[in-house]
Parts: sequence; structure tokens; C-alpha cells
Amino acid sequence: MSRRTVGKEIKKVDAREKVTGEALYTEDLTSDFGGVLHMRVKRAPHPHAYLRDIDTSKAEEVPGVVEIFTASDFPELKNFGLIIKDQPVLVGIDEKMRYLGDALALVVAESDKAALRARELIEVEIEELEVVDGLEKALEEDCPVVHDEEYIEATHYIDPDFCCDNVLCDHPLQRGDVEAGFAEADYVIEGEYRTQFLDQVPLQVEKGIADYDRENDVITIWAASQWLHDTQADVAQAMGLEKDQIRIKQPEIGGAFGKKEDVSVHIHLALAVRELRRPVQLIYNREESFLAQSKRHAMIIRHKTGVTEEGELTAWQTEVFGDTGAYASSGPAVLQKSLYHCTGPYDVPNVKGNSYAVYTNNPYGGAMRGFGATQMGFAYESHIDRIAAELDIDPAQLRHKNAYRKGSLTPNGQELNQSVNAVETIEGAAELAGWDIEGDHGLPAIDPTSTPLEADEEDIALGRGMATIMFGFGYGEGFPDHSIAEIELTEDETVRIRTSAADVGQGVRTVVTQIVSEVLKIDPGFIELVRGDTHTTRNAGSTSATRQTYFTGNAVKEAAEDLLGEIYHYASREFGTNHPEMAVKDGRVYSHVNSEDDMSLWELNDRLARQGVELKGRGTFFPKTYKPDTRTGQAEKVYVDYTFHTQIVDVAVDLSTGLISVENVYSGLDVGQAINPQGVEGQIEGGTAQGIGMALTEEVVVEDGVIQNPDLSRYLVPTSMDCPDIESVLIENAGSDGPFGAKGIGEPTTIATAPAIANAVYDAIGIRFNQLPIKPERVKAELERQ
Amino acid sequence: MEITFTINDEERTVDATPDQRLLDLIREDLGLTGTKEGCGKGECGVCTVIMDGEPVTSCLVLAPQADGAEIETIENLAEGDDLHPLQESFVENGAVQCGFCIPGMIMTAKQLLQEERNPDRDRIRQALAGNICRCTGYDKIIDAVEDAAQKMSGGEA
Repeated sequence: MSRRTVGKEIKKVDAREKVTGEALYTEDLTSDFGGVLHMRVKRAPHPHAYLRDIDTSKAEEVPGVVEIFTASDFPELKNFGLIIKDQPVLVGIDEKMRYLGDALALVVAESDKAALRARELIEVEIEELEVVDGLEKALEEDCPVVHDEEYIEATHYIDPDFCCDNVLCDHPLQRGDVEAGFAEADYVIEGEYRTQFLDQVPLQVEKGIADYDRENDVITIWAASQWLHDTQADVAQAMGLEKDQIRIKQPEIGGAFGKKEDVSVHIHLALAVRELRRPVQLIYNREESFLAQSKRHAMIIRHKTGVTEEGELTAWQTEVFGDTGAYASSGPAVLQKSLYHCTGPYDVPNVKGNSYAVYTNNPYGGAMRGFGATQMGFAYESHIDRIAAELDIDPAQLRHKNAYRKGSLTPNGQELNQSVNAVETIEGAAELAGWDIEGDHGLPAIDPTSTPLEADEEDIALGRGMATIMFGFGYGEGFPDHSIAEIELTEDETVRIRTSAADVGQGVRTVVTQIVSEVLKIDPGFIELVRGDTHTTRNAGSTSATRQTYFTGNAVKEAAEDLLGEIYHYASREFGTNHPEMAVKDGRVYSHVNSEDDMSLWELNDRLARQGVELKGRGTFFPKTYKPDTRTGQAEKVYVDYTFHTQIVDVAVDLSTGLISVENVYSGLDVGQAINPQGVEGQIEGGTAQGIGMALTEEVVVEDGVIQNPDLSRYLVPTSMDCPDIESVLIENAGSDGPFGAKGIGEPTTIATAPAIANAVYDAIGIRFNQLPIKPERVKAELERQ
Repeated sequence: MEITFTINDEERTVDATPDQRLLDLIREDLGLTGTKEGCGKGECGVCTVIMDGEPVTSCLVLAPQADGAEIETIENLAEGDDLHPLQESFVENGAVQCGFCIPGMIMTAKQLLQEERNPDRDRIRQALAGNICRCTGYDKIIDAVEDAAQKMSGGEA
């Protein structure tokens, strides 16, 4: 199909200002505000304690201090939270602090130095409680209870062999009869898999500036948010204000990966500016970002799988526990999504499972790329590899045999009837890597001296591993999910797109520019975007759940088509001609029949404006999913669509040090239609790097509720030395309902990497690591044990 | 205390405090906000500028240490509307996602290309190892530096 822009490599629309340093992130706006005040937050000194007293008198004496706010200054303040309002904005006297990120006081001063100095002088008296330091402890009989309130009426079809006092919520799943399935099986294989707390580490941490419009009683906040309108609503409800009294403007965003879904600086700033009537800024440092904001849930996942000698899966039972830390954040949804992906991309007739979100005094678990499906991906792909080893079947062959086809049912009973490309991703990646699915896995010779390990040849073991994953994108599960976009022609002869979709770097602004360019047959250079602003753009939903290309892409496409329809309608009136005789191209509308009937879109716009007609288009995309049955998790359509991804990874293991180097990565990604192939590759490469971190180096180490490594010299994000070049093939098959057939791909690009690495390590040294990360000291210890 | 240095080919004399970071001097006093801060501890490379021919993390340099130094930041690369070959290559190769690491990344790469005309991919990887990027997996960043090296050595030949 001949297309103008979609599927082509166009320059990312925001790249130019980012390479020159002109792009304005929140902290670059400070100088726009005269007399900006500086805020610092006094946080909890203990992860589980009652606040008995707080004395700010010494702190108030520090020169430059303007005000110190505590909970008693805001008696009407309500809790906040993404799904459940369980998190206090400020912990009050005789209330409980539940993790080290809880805020006790807000110090506002003329300088940051003064704010810091004053913060040190705040004296607090606390009554310490026993710390619930992790999942095992939280589920013990007689364990201290983190929240006395019962926020969710838990379905509680719970196995009664553990204590449920700290269980925030549970989700069940049941289809078919697993007991019958196990009876049918030749082998029943059980495994337990554990994943660690991870920090998203966007390079820009949480920062915000706020100002107050006294006349209209409106607070404006400049701060990153993955979902402007949701943050606006949460801030407003916590403060007891109308939504319109909170205006959030989106500066450039320096990465998010789930971390910028929760409220961070927003409410604290809003409270202060309304009281002080002066602009205030709050800038976290890296340690505070580690401390106060969300983590990827640490999980314990247990699988029990029945399989015949021929490798046919007969039954799959799963139990998932997620450490959601002190507050719910996205936890209930993360544990739900995790469970619903328990069998991965494999067809199993009998499925049963439960997942539990569990409160502890750890940093709270929230959203991070893959949203529970990432942890589950490590678990099911490690498990499938184990099954292949026990059955002595090639792991690619076992995957290929059981992978979903059209007509397969997911664990939720959703029939996959469009764009099911699991098998194609396996074949695509295998072809790239030279893995013969019927025979040899084709590990190539790797020159050990060329690895970054710098080890002797006899100390290097090489291995190859595969993982195939699936990801249901969009919120799904019956949650109302939509995006609204508008398009207009401007006086500057541009086409302006209005969307609040947050571009966190993934490139939604480029994608929607390409879509408009395609629909209106106009050069991308004519297209501009407004910045996200709760008061001038409509709800686009969040930049999460791998949904913006699909949802906002469709909304923008519809808006562009709406505008195109309007152009045809009015131009045909101007020309006195009929629609089939007209065309639009390069910013002009013209008639095929009469060459004099030809005008620029902006001329048409001017003429109509004089008649009082506004030329604009609006589009809304609002597809339906269904809430799964509360007892069985079954529904006709739980997610709008599914994306599949297979990765093959080659590793070199240094037997003398336990260090692992990732040598080659081959990706087969199901994309439907790549709107911007270069952007898709960028997602694969970046997602893989995060997967390498999850597999090998990254772990937020928490002891007794205290993070031991809240910095980047001890929390190890992969560097350029750790990430190899990646070869990928994009599987473009029709059938998705996304714009031009596109699927969402952001999160699926990260999920396959960690299990593929673990499987490659097993292939190299015969040791299966069921717990992440696979650090060198663990590898070394296991090697020595053998 | 008064310090004098050259920044982006311009001599400047400013009042600095002994504990002021070069990063804050650049961003706040001089208003050059292209240089970013990612960790404040010299661990991420986001705040990299070139000082006396070396890429340095400006969060770890005290302002008085810059007295008499020659400093270059990201703002110095483009000439009017014409991007520096590195900037151009970063745009063309899709090496930019959130963009927060990019100014520091480009400054490190610039110094590398100043010293070596045609570094291979392994050498580029090594040189950039102190600049963390969380978005791209580095693949396209390395492509961009390779590409810029070609453009630049081609231009000189």
C-alpha cells in the first residue's frame, strides 16, 4: 500500500529541541517565576510508627524560612491514591507513617539551603511499631497490620492457610477443571519464581513548580504526569476543590516508565501556593525519588503445570503474591494483570489461579513497564523452559506447539479472533538467530576475547535462550478507556493537534503527526501540537498500558478524518462541485474537474471564519472491554488486543567470576503496522536494556523497610557496555483495530528479555535461576556448590 | 568570590560561593538550562560538560574550580539553524527519546570525536559508559556517534 508518512521513518518531532538543549523540562522553567520559593519535604524517620508529636519551632527560626506546614494546618485534607485513596498527603499527630516516604511536614523557604537546614531542625516524636518487612512476614499469623481500614471488599475466596489481615485485595481465575487436567497429564511440574523490587529510574526525577491565581482561585502546576486529568482529579479531591481549580500543564518529560503515574510533588505544591500566594518549586533528588515514589512489585509466583509426554499443556495453576508496600497505588490492577497473563501465550484448556496484593512497610509498589505482566513473563517463560528440559523437547518447539492461534482462549476465556501472531514472532526471531525449531538451537561461535568479560577462553560458557510473551494492552478489564483529540487550522498556516497524551519520550507526538499527515496528505512540517494542559486539551487517558498509539492514535485519526469531512463539505459548497470530484493534498483542496477550483486549506478556513463557521475536527476512541466475573475472571473481551514478542538471547558466563555478558539479542515483535519503524526499534532496544537490568543487575535492596541502595552507584542501571546491538524483525500482519492496523508495543518490548537471559544462562551452565537478579555472586556460589 | 572563565567562547566573570556547584552556576546564574541534572553524585553523566578538553560531570565540580577554565555546553554546538553533525546524527538516527541524557551524551561524544576521528562501536561504547540512558538501550546513540564521525571526517577530508 502506498502511504505518504505512516510506516516511514520521519524525524521525531521533538528531537531537534532536545539535541540543542532548548527543550524545556520542569526545572528549566524556574527563571520564569519571580521570587520562587523552595520546598523540602520532611519524611518519615521510621517505616512503621505513630507520629506522637512534631515540633517545628527551631526550624522556623532559620533565616529565610517562610512557612512550615504540617497536617494540622489542613484539617480537611483527604487521602490520595490512583485506585484507592489510602495515602495521606501529610501524616498527622497520632496517625501512622507506613514507609519512609510518608510526608510529615512541608518546609518552604526563600532558598533551598534554608529549606534544607530547617528540615534538619524539625523534631518529631514517634512510637515505633514492628516493621512488616516483606511478603512472608505480612502473611504470618499475628503479624502487625499495616492498614486497619478495609479499603476493598476483598473477594476473599482465599486459601485459609495464611493470614489475610495485610491482604489488600485478591483476584481469582478459573476456567475448565485443573484437577481433571492434572489427571490427564503425564507430568505435573511445579516451580516457584521470585522477582525483585525495581526502580523505574527515569533520568529526570520528580519536580514541580506551582503558582496561584488569587482572582480565580485556580492553582496551576507545572509537573510531569503520565495522565494529566487523573492527577488533576486526585489533587482536587484531596484538597476538596473543584477539578477546574487545579490546572496542570505538561512541560517536557524526562522519562517515566510508570513512575510518573502517581502523585508526587503535586498536592504538596498546591497546598503551599494557595496559602502563600507565591510560586513554589519542589525538586526531588535521586535518593528522594527512590524513597518516596513507586517500585515494580517484588513478587512470588508459583506455577503448577500438567503436560503430556508429547508436550501438550493440560492444566495450569498459578498463585501470585505481590508486595504492594505501604500504599495501594496501582497495586490492585498490577496483581490483576499479572494473574491474567499467567499462562503466557500458550493455549491451556484448564486454568486456575489467585493473586494477592499485600501491604507491607516497604516502598509502595506501583506501575512499571509491563505492569505485573513483566514479573509473570519471567515466571511462565522460565517455567516453560523447565518443562521443555524435563520433556527433552527443544524449547522453541514446545513454545511453537502450544502458542496461541486464532480461536485460542486466554485464561480469561477471551477468544483470540484477530491478529494472533505468537507463532510468527517465534518463527521470525528463530530465523534471525538461526535457531532451527525442528532441530538445533544454533548457538553461534562467539569469540570469548571479544566479550566485555575479558576472561580466558576456558573460563567462558556460552548459552542461548528464548522467551515468548504476550501482553493485553489498554486498561481492559471493563475500565472505561478512551482518548479525545481535536484538530484545527491555525492562522500561522499550520494544522494543530490538541491532545493531552503525555509524550514521555516514547514518541506519541511523532506518531500522531504521522497519522494526521497521512489522513490530510500533508507534510509533517505543517503539523504542530499543543502541550498537554488540563484546561485546553481533553482527556487522552494515561501514557501507560501500552495504549497511546492505539487509543490516541485512533482518536487523532478520527479527528483528522472529521476535519477532512468538514473540508470536503465546505469546499464542495465553495466550488459548487461534488465530493468525488475533489481531493486534498499538500495543504490544498481542489477539484479534478475545474482547475480554478483550488484553494489552500487556510484560505477556506478564513472564508468560513467570516461566515462564522469553525473548521475543526474532533475524534474520540472509546472501545469496550468487559469486567471479568468476580469469581472466575472470565469475560468475553478483557483486553482490546494482545501483542506478542519473542526474543532469543546469547550470553557468555565467566565461570571464574560469575559475571554474565549479553552477547546477542534477536527480536521478533508483533506490531500490526509500525507507524514509525525507527521508533518501534527504539522501543525494542530500550525495553531490552531494561530487561537486561532486571535480569542481571537491578534490585532495590530493602531491609526492614529501609532502602539500602538509593543511588545509581549501587542500583545498577545498564550502561552502554552492558547492552549489545539488537537485531529485530517487525511482524506486520493485518487485523488489529489500531490506527492503520497498529498495535501497542511499549511494554511488550521489555518482558521477554529477563526470562530469555535466565534461559540462556541455564543453557550455558545448567543452573536455573528462579530468582532475579542473577548477580555474579549468586552465579559463583551456585557454580561452586555443584 | 569572583571567578573568571570562558564558557561557549565567551569570557565571563561571576560571583560564586565556595560551595556552589558548576552545574548550578551554569543553569541558574548563566541561564544555560540545556545541561541537566540526573543524580547530583556524578553517577549518571547527565550533567556532562566539556571543561579544558575533558568531559566532566558538572555536579561534582565546584564553581571556584572553574576559575580560568574553558567550558563548553550543549548550547555551543548549533550555529544558528545549523545543527552540529552530532546533533544532526542524533536526530536522524532516532537516538533521542525522552532527551534528558542527550545533552550530556552529546558532549561526551563530542570530546571523543575531538580525540579520535573514527572510533569503532566498541570504542564508542566505552567512551559513553559513564552516560546513562534509560530509554534507548544505546543502540541508536552508538549509530549516531558513528554516523557523525563519518560526516565529520568526511567534511575535513
